[in-house]
Formats: sequence, structure tokens, C-alpha cells
Amino acid sequence: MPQAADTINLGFLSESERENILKVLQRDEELRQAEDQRVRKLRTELQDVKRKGAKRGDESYSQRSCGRCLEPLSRLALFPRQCKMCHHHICQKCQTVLPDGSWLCSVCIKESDLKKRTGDWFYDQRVNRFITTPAHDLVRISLRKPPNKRETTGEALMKSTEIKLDPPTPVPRARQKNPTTDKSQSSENSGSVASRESFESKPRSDIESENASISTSTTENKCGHVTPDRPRKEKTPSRSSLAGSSVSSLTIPAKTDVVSVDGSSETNAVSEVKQVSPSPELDVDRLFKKSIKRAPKPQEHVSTLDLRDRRETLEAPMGNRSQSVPGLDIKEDEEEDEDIDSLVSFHKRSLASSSSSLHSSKTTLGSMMSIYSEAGDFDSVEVSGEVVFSIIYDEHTQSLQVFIKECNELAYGDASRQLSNPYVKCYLLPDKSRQSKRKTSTKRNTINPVYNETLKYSISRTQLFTRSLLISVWHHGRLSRNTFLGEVEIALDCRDLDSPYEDRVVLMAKSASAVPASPFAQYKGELVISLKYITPTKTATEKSKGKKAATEEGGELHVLIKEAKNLIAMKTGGTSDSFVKGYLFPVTAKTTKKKTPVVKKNLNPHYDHIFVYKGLALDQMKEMCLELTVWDREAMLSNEFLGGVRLSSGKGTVKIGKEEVVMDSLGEEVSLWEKMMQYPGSWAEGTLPLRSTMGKGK
Amino acid sequence: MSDGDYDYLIKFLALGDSGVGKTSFLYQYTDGKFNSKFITTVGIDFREKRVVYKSTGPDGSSGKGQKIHMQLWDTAGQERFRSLTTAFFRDAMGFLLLFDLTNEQSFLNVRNWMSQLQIHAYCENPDIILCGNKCDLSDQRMVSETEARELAEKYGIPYFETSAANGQNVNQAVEVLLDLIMKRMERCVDKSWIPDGTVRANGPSNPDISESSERSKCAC
Ligand SMILES: Nc1nc2c(ncn2[C@@H]2O[C@H](COP(=O)(O)OP(=O)(O)O)[C@@H](O)[C@H]2O)c(=O)[nH]1
Ligand SMILES: [Mg+2]
Ligand SMILES: [Zn+2]
Ligand SMILES: [Zn+2]
Repeated sequence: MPQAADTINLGFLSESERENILKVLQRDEELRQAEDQRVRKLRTELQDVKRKGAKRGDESYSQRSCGRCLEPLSRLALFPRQCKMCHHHICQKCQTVLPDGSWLCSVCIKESDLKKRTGDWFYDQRVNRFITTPAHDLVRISLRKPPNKRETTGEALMKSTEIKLDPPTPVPRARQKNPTTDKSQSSENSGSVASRESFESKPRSDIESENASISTSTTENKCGHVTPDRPRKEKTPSRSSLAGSSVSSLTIPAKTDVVSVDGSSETNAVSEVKQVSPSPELDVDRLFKKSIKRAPKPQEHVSTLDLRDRRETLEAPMGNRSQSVPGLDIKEDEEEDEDIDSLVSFHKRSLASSSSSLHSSKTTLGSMMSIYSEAGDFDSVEVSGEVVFSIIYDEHTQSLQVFIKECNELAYGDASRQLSNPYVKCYLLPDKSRQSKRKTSTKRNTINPVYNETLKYSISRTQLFTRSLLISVWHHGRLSRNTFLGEVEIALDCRDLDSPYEDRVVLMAKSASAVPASPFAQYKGELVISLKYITPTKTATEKSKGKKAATEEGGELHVLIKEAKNLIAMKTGGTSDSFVKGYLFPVTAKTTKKKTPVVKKNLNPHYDHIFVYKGLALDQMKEMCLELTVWDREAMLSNEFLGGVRLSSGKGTVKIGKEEVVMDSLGEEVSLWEKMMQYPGSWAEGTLPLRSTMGKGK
Repeated sequence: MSDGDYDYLIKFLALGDSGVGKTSFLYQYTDGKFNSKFITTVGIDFREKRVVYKSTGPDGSSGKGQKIHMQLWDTAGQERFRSLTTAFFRDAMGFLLLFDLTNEQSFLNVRNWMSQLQIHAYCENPDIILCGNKCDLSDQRMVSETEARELAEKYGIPYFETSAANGQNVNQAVEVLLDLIMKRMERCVDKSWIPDGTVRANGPSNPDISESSERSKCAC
């Protein structure tokens, strides 16, 4: 009884009967399209809700904080608080009580509501019914095509009849073996039918059992619910006459807001880690499906870190305004960002003799040419002043001792505030690694700092012959953005190291040529990230729930740090323990520094970590700049810069501290940023080459 | 008409022998009119109507109104259209099975229609309403209410004596069907977190996979 797909044919119908049926199908298609749109909108809404409260997986963790809003849960659980659907522990705010007295969490309630509204409850069942045919599964798997469970008979019939309904002659064409003979206007169609025929030769059997011939091709819809590829031009224009008589419309009630998105928006911290192609297609269905499939495990620490970052936010302003905050130095020390490499690139050239010993140095080549003074703005400071020091070699301890006495008349590191927090740093060149780095303490708010500190290097006397000492002075700026204040280089080969005489040397600026022409000149590996801007929730009425108003004033920027590739090895054994740090400029109270956890011993580390920046308006993003830098973590010493990216529109300047800094983003850095702004709600993913320097080019 | 401003799209389908009054029934329901002229339905057709559905809670309280967009498929009862019409069975969420109270054969054929439904509907036990139509023509009546009710009871489905001509029980029949569908919908969704206690829903599972294993039957 069942016919094969390609013999579907309304040949038994008269001309006018076919025409009638086609008109019905066309009306149906219009209804279906409206429905598709509605369903997509619903799915988007669900995505929004999910995004807001999305703790998953590890339930032991979730006992301590609400699985939706991530607020800590009190120990004293007076009420059962495990959502019966997702099993997360949920605070009372995030519970929605059902008519029967039970409750679900904000996400689950939305999800089950969506199942009803979209008709998924129905389609899910139908799929189950017809999928039980054993052959069906197999064939489907072998074709690697997901079934379009929403396709209706009308839709399928529409496709299969379009060609046949308007034949030039009533050809007794039982099979579409000859699509080229069709009229040119339907060539597009016949093409698709031809291909359908060819790949359906196998699956045909599986559908036979489910229904009559006409719908045989239904399950093989290639293009998902929306079927945008169906040519619209073939619709008969006479539709109105028929539709007019048969469509009835009755009372449509006044609009009531039935959908109430749960107001868990206020306290959200993290969204799910989604992997979606950054392509601009806005197929919500696909987004939705894919996002569910991915099972990102590192969710938990996302939220942990986020909480910690929040704590840091509170501390940050203190550091900025105070000259006298003790301990600031220590706190920031472990994450202080390196600037040595800029110096090195200069000195490598000037010290030809030392370059021969480069290979013996423990530093890897990769670290040498990079610079990351976070301000990177040494050009903007007019170097002035002098450094007073003495150098002796102590035979007894086999060590070189550098006595830093003081500096005089230094430049202001923070020019606008007439402020400098200077410290002195030394490298025993050509070793530019952290093993070679020595630092004094940081003096607050002075341009005439007195240190009287001795920096020691354990080294045999004979080795000193090929070395030189680089003494540089830096201003310790806010958020660890340090400013170069000047440097001197002392060759050790011809210096008397046995008598401690005080030297007073005028500080020098770096030669501009020392900076590599392009920050991309050296390959430092790549960083794979996704960006997504989330427009603010429009549920203004939800505000009345009494949450902090602050979170509602803007959208969010989510930065998914996926992975880095081909990082430079910093540690013995050819690895690095890396993490990524993020700064969003201009800095606001809400957008402080973020860090990923450290991924150990890996040059291709997967971070899968999200930075969430809140309270941002979309058009604000044009003027913002996101710096992501990769660092090698070193427990006792400073972290080593591995590379970075600077994302922005690439135009204009951004305020960093009190300074206007040029946003010199290039290539992908710009296009990814723009893609993010262009498609709010979608992930824009990109693989960005790491800059070897974050110094602002001039 | 087909703007997306509704909460649920509900699809029903009317079936039964030719001439029992399916087209008239739907016309009466959507437009409140009756046309005694008999125009055979060509294959398939559908009508639309919007209603507000208020669910009644166990305590009798009625909930918030839900906007329903109904798509009511009409089918030709003639055998020559059979392959076409049954193909549309799978898209319907509920069914109005009509027979003509003045035509015994149409009543006897209810059995056949029921088995057609079992084969072609979205699940083995879909929601169906049995309607004995043309009850206004009491003098020509060939099927007693008792035997009709017995049959409906056998299938476990509601029975209504309707008249597309005067509108008797037409709205009621459709409303009862709608209520059945809305309740089934609730059960289906509820069920998704009861079965085996597995974490799904928002978990990182693919709904397509997790659901197929959960609900091989539609007895929800
Ligand atoms: N008196 C009466 N006539 C009806 C009723 N329903 C349908 N008819 C008539 O029966 C004939 C067939 O009806 P129709 O709706 O076309 O049947 P269908 O083939 O099932 O669609 C028409 O002439 C109608 O006017 C009814 O309830 N009462
Ligand atoms: Mg009819
Ligand atoms: Zn909560
Ligand atoms: Zn839940």
C-alpha cells in the first residue's frame, strides 16, 4: 500500500482538485511560518532565562549556593529546596510555585512551560512513535541527519507537490527521474527533489509503516523547521479569494502577559558555556540545540571565581587613592606584570657580546622579545632624574651585590595626579628571565625615593665578564599598570667590582627603535575566545521585586576564554602554567580584573572560563577595549608575560587611568569585537594571534 | 489571522464518512453558521479559530486565560482521498470522529476510523471525541443514543450528540477535546521529571535523546 517517496503524486486528482489542495497547503504554510517564529521567540526567551541562572553538574557544590541566582544558601533549610526537575538546590526567591503547591526552579518552570507552548510535548511523542521502527533509527544514524520532528504532512506535501502541480503537460511522470525537463521556473525545486530522491533511496522503507505515501518524504527535511529555502515565488496569487471565504476569525482576547520570566536576573553571575559557531546566522533553533548538547564541565569554578572577583572589586579603589596603604605592594606583587622584555629587545641589540650567551641562558627565546608593561606607555612619560647605586662582587658569598640607594627627581608616573610610586628593578643581562629579576620595594608618592636596599645575584665572578646590569625605574600604577620612568645599563666587564663606590647615573629613555615594529612580529601562539553581548532584560516590572537596581541598567559582556594554542614554554620541561587575565577599559567599578584558573604544564591549555562584565550598554562597547593577557604563573616570583590580545573597535582612544590610550586593535581583534556588538545574544568566536607586546604603538 | 500572538497552537482533525457533516460541523464551530448545501470536501481543508482556555484547577478555581489558536483540519471521507487524508492524522493533537445519526453505515464505520487513527495518529491512544451528528433530524434517526454511548464507552472516549445545523453540542464537543489536550499536555510535561529521577531538563543532555528513551509510549 505505501508508495515510495518519489511516486508521490496527486495524479489521481483532477486539475482543479490539486489546485484546491495546494491552496490549502499554502494557507497552512503561512500559519506554520507564524508558528515557527513564535516558537523561535520562545526558545530565545528560554535561553535568556537559562543564561541567568545556570549552575549545573556538580551537586555537592550546589548545596552551598542557589543553583540559579548563585546566592549562598543558608545552612538552616526550613523547606525542601531541591528542584525536582533539575535537582539543584534553589533559594526561595528562585522557586516558582505551581498550582498543585509544588514548585520548580526558575529555569525548569520556564522550560516545561516552553515544552507546552512550543508543542514539543506533542512532537516529542510523535517522534517516539514513528521512530520505534527499528530500521528508522539505523538509517537516520547512517545519514547523520537529525529528524525534523516538527515537519507536518502539509509541509512535506507542499514540497513534493510543488513541482508536480504545475506540469507543462500532464506528463505521466511517475518518477522524478528527469528534473531537467521541468519548467525553468521550478528548476530550483526540481534540483532539491532530485537530491532528495537520491539520498532517500535508503530511508524510504523506514517510513512506510507510519503512513501513506504522501508523507513519505517528511522525515527527511534537510533544513530544519524554518525551511527558508522553499521558493516562495511559486505561491499562487489567487490565494486570497479562497482564503477569504474559509478563514474565520473570532474574538481574540485582550493581550495578557502570560509568560512571566522569572526574575532571577538580578544576581546572575555566569552563563552556560556555549559553543556556537560565531557565524552571523541567527538561527535560534540551532543555537538552542547546540548549546544543550555541549556539556561544559568547568562551570563551577566560573562561579567561584566570579564571587572572588567581586570581592576584589571592593579592594581595588583603595589601592588607587591611597599613598599609604600598607601591603599593597605585597598583594599585587605576585601578579605584577612584566616589562623586562621590552628592555631586553633593546639590549639584545646593544650588547652584541652577550647575545652569544643567549643559548646558555635559561630563558626561552620566546620571552625575550616581548614586553608587557601594562600601561605600555613609556613613551608618554618624559624620563628625568637619576639613580644612585653601587655594585660590588662579594667573593665570600660568590655573589654580585647591587646596592640601590635612591633616585632623585624622577618623572611622575601618573602625570595628571603628579604622583609616582617608584620602584627599581634590575636584570643581570643577558638573562631576562625572572631568575634574573630583582626588585626593590615600592615607595609611595615620591619622586625622590630612598631605598637603601641590596639586590643580590649568586654568580661566579668569571661569568660576570659577559654580563651587564640593567637598572630600570618604574612607577607602580593602578591596577598594576606600571609606567616606565627610566633606565640605565651598566656593563660589568670593565667595572671595578671590588670597591664599593657610589654611582650617580642619569636615567635614560628607551630608544623607540627598541620596540618591535609590530606586536605581531613574533609568533606567541593564539588565544581562542568567544564574545557575547547580552542585552539587558526588559522585564522592567520585575524590578519591583526589590533587587539592586544596578544590575539592570545595562547588558553584559560575556567573554569565554576557551583555550590558548602554542604558548611559549617558560618552565623547565618545556611547559608553562598559564592563566588569562582580563581588563576591560575604561575601568569602572564593575569591570575589574578577571582571571582564569591556572592550567598547569600545558602549552595548549583549555581554560573554558567565562568573564562576565556587567552593567554595560551596547553602544558603550564601541568605546571600550578589552585586554586579555596570558601569563605563566610562578609561585614565588612574578608572572611571566606570554602574550595578549587587545579587542576594540580599533578606532579612537580609551581612558586608562587618566590617560587617553590609542586603541590599536588590528584584524581579528577588531572584527571579533564588532561581531559581538552586531549580534547581541550570539557568541562571536575567534582565534586571535597573541601579541608579543601590549605596548601601545605610536 | 496567523500572527503569532497566541500561547498555544492546537491542531484538531475531523474525520468520519463522507456526508456525516464534518465540514458543516467545523463551519458551525468557527463561524456559527450552517449551509445545507452539500459541497464535497476536496481532500483536505482547515479552519481556524481563537479561543481563550481557562484551566480549572482541582479546587474549581479557574486559572489565567490562555490564548489558543486552533487549527481545525477537515478531511474528505471518501475512499479515494484516503491516503491523502490519513497522512494528515499524524499532525493532529486531537480528533473529532463524526458519524451521521441518520446513517447506520456511518456508525458502523466508526470502528474502521478508530483503527485508522490508531495507525496514523501521533500516538496509539490519542484524544478523540465521538460525535453523533445531525441529531436535529430526530425523525430520521437510525442510531440510538444508547448504542452510540456504548461504543464510545468501549473506546473510552466522550460522546456527544451534535447538530451542525442548530449548533447543539458543537462548542461543547470541541471544548471537551481542548480540555483533554491541555490536560494531556500538562501530564506529558510533568512526566518528564518523574520517570527515573535522572537529572535532565537543564542538564547538558540532548533532549532528543533523553526523551526518546523516557517516553516510548504515550500513555502519559
Ligand atoms: N440537518 C442537518 N444536516 C446536516 C448536519 N450536518 C451536515 N448536514 C448536511 O449534510 C450534508 C453533508 O454535510 P458535510 O458537512 O458536507 O459533510 P462532510 O462530508 O462530512 O463534510 C450537507 O448537505 C449538510 O447540509 C446536521 O447537523 N443537521
Ligand atoms: Mg466535507
Ligand atoms: Zn536563587
Ligand atoms: Zn530546576
